[in-house]
Formats: sequence, structure tokens, C-alpha cells
Amino acid sequence: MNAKTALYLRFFIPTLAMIGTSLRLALRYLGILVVATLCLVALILASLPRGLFSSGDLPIVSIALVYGSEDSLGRNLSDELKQIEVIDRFYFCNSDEARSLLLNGEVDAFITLPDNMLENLVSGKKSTITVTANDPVLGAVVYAIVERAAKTANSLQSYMLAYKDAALSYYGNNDDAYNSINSFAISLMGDALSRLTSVSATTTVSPFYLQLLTLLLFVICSLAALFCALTISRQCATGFSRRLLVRKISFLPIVITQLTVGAILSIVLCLVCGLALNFVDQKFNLLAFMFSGLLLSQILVPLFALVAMSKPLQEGTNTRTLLAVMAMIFLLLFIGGGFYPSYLMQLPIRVFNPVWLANVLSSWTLGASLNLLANLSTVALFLLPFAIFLAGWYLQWRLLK
Amino acid sequence: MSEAPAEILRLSNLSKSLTKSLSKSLTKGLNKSRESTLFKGINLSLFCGEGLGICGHNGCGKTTLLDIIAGLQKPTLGSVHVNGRVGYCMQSAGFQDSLSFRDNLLLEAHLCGLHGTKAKHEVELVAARCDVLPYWKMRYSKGSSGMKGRLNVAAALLSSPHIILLDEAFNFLDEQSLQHLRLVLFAEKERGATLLMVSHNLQDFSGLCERVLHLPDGRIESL
Repeated sequence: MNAKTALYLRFFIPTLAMIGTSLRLALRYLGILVVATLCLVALILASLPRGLFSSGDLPIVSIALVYGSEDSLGRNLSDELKQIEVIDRFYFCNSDEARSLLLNGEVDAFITLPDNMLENLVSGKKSTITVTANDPVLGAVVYAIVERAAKTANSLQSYMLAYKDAALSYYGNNDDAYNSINSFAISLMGDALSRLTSVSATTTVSPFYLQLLTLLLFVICSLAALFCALTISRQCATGFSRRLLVRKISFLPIVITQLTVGAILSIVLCLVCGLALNFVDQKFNLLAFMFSGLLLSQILVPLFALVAMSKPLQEGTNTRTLLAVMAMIFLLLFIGGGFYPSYLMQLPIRVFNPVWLANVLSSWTLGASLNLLANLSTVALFLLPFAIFLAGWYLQWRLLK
Repeated sequence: MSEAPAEILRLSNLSKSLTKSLSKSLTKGLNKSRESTLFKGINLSLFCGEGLGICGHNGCGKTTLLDIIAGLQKPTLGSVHVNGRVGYCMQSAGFQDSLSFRDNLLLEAHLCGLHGTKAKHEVELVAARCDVLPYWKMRYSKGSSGMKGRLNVAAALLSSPHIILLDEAFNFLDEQSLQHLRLVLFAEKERGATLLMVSHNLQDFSGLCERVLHLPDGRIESL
């Protein structure tokens, strides 16, 4: 092992020692931790509204239906949709009204049906149904509802066409035939929609589970970053960094090694939690979870290091400051859509939420939006050298000024 | 004909000012200068085997001067020319609490560019000289102030520096350790190392320093 490798390895020790100290402290205050955890669990359970997960694990949604003509199909659809348990409020309106309802936070999504849907159904043509939502999780729920309806309608369309042939040959090509076809179509759609109450069975991963995953991922990465940032801060506070400067060694090794420590910690923790979660759900994307942890920790370590260095000589203040930053990010996540309490779901405040953050984090844990993940990785990998350089430069500047 | 000793350190017109924060300046009035001068116009040359003591009241810039020589701070004016390796025994030791005395010295040896058996050999040699071996495997956090002080000096002596900066290195030492370390430093001086010592106690300089620099006025006295 050469001197450089040995030197880098030595930087790992303070982080590991700090984890050891934290574990010792945790064991010492185990009783308090257990009580606090029980209180927290009770608090969470108490605050969870009964109606939140009334249909399986699906949250209740408010949706608007956009359908151009007020024909029998439209009326029938709106009647049927009102019966669905997972739908709290329902609006039948035009596209402009639906958009303003979405912007005001009165609905979670709106579904647009094509004007000629009935004709398409009768003639055997395919119709395109669009779902518009500004929220990834609720959008997914509404999409699941529509997908289920579309599948049912598709399977019934062959019956519809057979009925149409039979009706035309029986009545001949006249109004009676078409009235009969229309009423049969409406009853078929009603039948399809009445089956939507079992939509929760079609979702592969429950939204609540996803939100917890998002939170878990963030806790893991924040803790890893917290340890690393505190190590950097500690090295500066105890004067170890001055020793590096005397020996003409740049601060970049500290930042790079702490980034490595952060990456290893987050990957290992994500792997452990991910393997445990794999028992719960076999479809859980472990690789996406670990990769998300890696990326998140690499962004958080320089960020936390910069925060920790704002007052390098007061370690207690550093810990408090970092915890405050963590709490702030959790709050954003909480309000922004990572974790939904029902009363926030009903408030228009969600319009002002950092939806982007929730989108990104949910997508990471969903492992579904690979394009977004790829784009983010590209941006992160592009920005990472700058972040490392900036952190190293800032640390050096603080001591040399 | 004997060879002239090499110049190890040259300070030319060295000055250092501290800039007050903008908020302080605003509260005290903008008319007052935002800068307060620690010392100015220090000219000094030190050669191989010389010793210089630095004394002055609290906050007059003794540690800052050593920091400037070690390259940790930049002077406001003037220049510093150091010809050789620097060993700095700092007030804030900066050792790792979680490591043993031995590992801390080994880490310092790695920072000096030593590795493998050479590093171990050098570390053991310095530790034996500074009497650190008896508590060799003790965790740094468990050591007393005197033990830590000796380790601090030992770390500064690693890799045989040409110039040794000692910032109140004799604090917390008992009489026996003090005499022992004085002998070690004297041996270093005999080897050709240049000593720069900061202390409040003028007796610390005797036998090790030929001259004393008084701060902040920069006056130099022979002992």
C-alpha cells in the first residue's frame, strides 16, 4: 500500500469512529429512543385519517371529467364515476374549467375523453383517453383507474361489435337499431366502470409504500451525508486540516474521501434496507433504490459540508445547523408530496408545493421514470466535479483568509 | 576556511492586518478604519542552527507570524522566503482522537511523504527521542495534556525539518519532560535545524535561542 492510499484510508477512520460513537450513544439512550419511537408511531397512526386508505392502499382522489357532449354516455359515465370509492369529489366540465380546478388544487387530476367516444366504441375504433395531473403519485392512481376502465372497455368492444351486427341484421339499418346499439354500449360502459372499485388490485406498488420508501431513502442519505460533513467539520475544528496545509496537501482529498465514504455508506444502507424490502415486495427495484441513494448522497455531502463549515469551531452548532437543514428538507418533502396527510391533500397549498422535488424523489424510488433518472445522473455527474472543487476551495479559503 | 551557514528564513518588510467584519465597522462608525494592524515592517534573516524566540502580549500576532511562515496565512504586505522543510508544533494540535499516539504519528509521517517501513522506523525513532513510547498504543483522547504536548513536538520533528516552529510547546509539561524536550531540541539545533519559539516565559529561550523578537514593534534583542 503506498502512502497516498494509506492517507486516504486514514480519513475513513474518523467517520467510522463517529458512527461508532453514535451507536454507543444510541445504546446508552436506548430506552428513550424506544419510547420516542413508540410515541412517533402512535402520532403517525393517530394523524392518519381513516378515509385516507379506505380502498386498499389507494389515497382518495378528486377528479374532473372532460367530455365534450352532454350525451347519454357522458351522463352515464359521470354517474358511474361518482360511485367509485376511491374518488372523493367529481366534476363534469370542459377542458378550461378542469385546468383551472387543477391549478386551484380542487382536483388532483382530470380525465379527457374524446368527443366521439361513443361513436368510436360502436364503430370499433380506438379512443385516446388522457390523464392530466401535477402530482406523480395521484396521477399514477388516476391513470390506474383509467387504464382499468380502458382494458375493460376493450374486452367488451368485441361483444359490442357482435351486438351491432346482430342488431343491424335484426332491425335493419334504421334508428331503432342505433338506439338499441347505443343503450347496449352505455350498459357495457356502466358495467366496465362498476368494476373499477377493485382498481387497487391492479397497482403493483402502493403509493403509501412508495412515500415511505422516499422518506427512508432520504433519511439514509441524509445520515450518511451528516456523518461525512461532521467529519470534515471536525477535521477543520480540531486543526487537522491545518496539518494538511502545513504539509502542502490540498483539501480535495478530504472532500473526495468523504464523498467516497458517503457513497459507500448510502449504498450499504440502501442495500440492507432494500434487501429487507425485497421480502415485502418482489418487484421492488433494488438497483434503482441503491443508485438513487448514491446520487443523493453525492449531492448532499458537499451541501452539508458547506453548511457545516459556516461555523467550523463550534461543533455543537454544526450538528444543530445540519439537523435544521435536514428538517427543512424533510418539511419540503412532507409538504411537497413525499408523504401525504389527508388535510394537506385537501388544501390548495399543494399548488405552491415544490412538486418538482416530489416528482424527482418519487420517480427515483418508483424506479419507473428511467429517463428522468438518466437525465439527472447526467446533470449530477456533470456538476459533481464542480461541487467537489467548490467545497475544497471553500474549505481552503476559510483557513487561508 | 569554514563554509558560511545557509540562510533558512528571510522575512522582508512583513506586515499583517486583520480586517474587521462589515457589521462591526457599521456599528462602530464608517469613519474608523476597517483594518487593525497586528505587526508591520518585520525584517529578519535566520541561518542554519540559529534559534529565535518570539514574545509579546496576548493577541499581538505571535501565532499569526508562525502561521505566515508555515504558509497557513497570507501576509498583508511583504514576503516570506523559506528554504527547507518546515516542522510546525501548533497550539491546536489537530490529532485524531480516535487514533492511538502511534497511529497519529504514522498519519503525520504519511502526510510528510514517508511510507512503509521507512515511516515506521522514523516514527519509532522520533517517539523514542521525545519519550512518547511508554503510552504508544493509548488512544489520543485518553492521554494527558503533557503526553499530547510531547506528541505534538514529536510530530514536528518528523522528516528532519530544516526549520522548527514551536508555538508554546512547553505548556503543560512537567519539569522532567521540559528538560528532556529542551535537550532534544538542542540536539536538533546542533544538527543544523533552525528554531523559532513562541513563549511568554523568557526562560524557555535560554540555551536554545540567541535572539528574541518582540512583537508587535518588531524589535530584536540578543540574549
